[in-house]
Amino acid sequence: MAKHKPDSHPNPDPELGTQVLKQPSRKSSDGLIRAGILVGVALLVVITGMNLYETRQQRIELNERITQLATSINTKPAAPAPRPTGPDPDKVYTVKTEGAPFLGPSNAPITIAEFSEFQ
Amino acid sequence: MHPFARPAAIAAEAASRQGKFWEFHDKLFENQKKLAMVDLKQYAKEVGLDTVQFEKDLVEPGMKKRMEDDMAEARSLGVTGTPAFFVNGRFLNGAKPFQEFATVINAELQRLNLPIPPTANAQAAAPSPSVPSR
Repeated sequence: MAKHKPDSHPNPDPELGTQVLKQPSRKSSDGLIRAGILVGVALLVVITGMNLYETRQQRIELNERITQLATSINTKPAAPAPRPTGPDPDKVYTVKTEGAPFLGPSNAPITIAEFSEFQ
Repeated sequence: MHPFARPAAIAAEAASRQGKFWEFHDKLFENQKKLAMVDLKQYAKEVGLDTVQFEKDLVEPGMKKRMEDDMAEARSLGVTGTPAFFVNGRFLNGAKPFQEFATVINAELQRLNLPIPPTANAQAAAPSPSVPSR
C-alpha cells in the first residue's frame, strides 16, 4: 500500500501530469479501501460477536436441558419406590389351601396360610 | 430360591404322602444347614418313612408339580419372599413378632363375633387400626 503513496512517487515526465491530477482521486479510493476494510473488520467483529453470543446462548440452553434431564433421571426411580411391593395388607385374599398339610381342626374359624421354604 | 430348597420341598411332599409332613418338616428346620439329597434320605429314615416309596416319590413328577403349584399360588398372590402369611386372607409379610399375629387374629375373631382367648387378649389388647373392618 505504501508504494502507492503519491509523495514518494517520482514524476519527472510532464506528460504524466494528468496522473498527478488524478492523485486526489487515487487518495480518495485509498480512503474508500481503508474504510471498506474498516467496515469489513467491523462487520467481522460484529458477526464474530453475534456468533459468540449465539454459541453462549446455545450453551446456556443446553446446560439447562441437561440439568432438566438429569433431574428427571434422578427423580424417575424415586417415583415408583413408594409403591408397596407384594400383596396389599388392606386386602382380603383367597388362598388355595386344599391338599396342603395343616395343623388344628379343619373347620377352625381362623386359617393361617404360610408360604415357606427350607433354608 | 436356595438350591437345596426345591429338592427339600419335593421331599416334604413325599413325606406328606406318607402322612409324616410335620415330622419331616421339623427335621428339616432343625437341620437347615444340611439339606443335600443324602441328608434328606437320612431324615426320611429317621422319621420312619418307607424309604423305598420315598425315593420313588422324589422323582415322581406329581410331587414336583405340587411344589410348583404352591409356588405359582404364592406368585399369583404377589408374594415375593418367605415366610409369607395370610391370616384369613390378610397378608402378613415375613417372620413378624407374635404381637402382630395376635392383633390380626383378634381383629378377625371380633369381626366373626367370636370370643377372644384371654391369653391372646392380654398380649394384644386392641385390634390394630391398620386392619380395616369389612
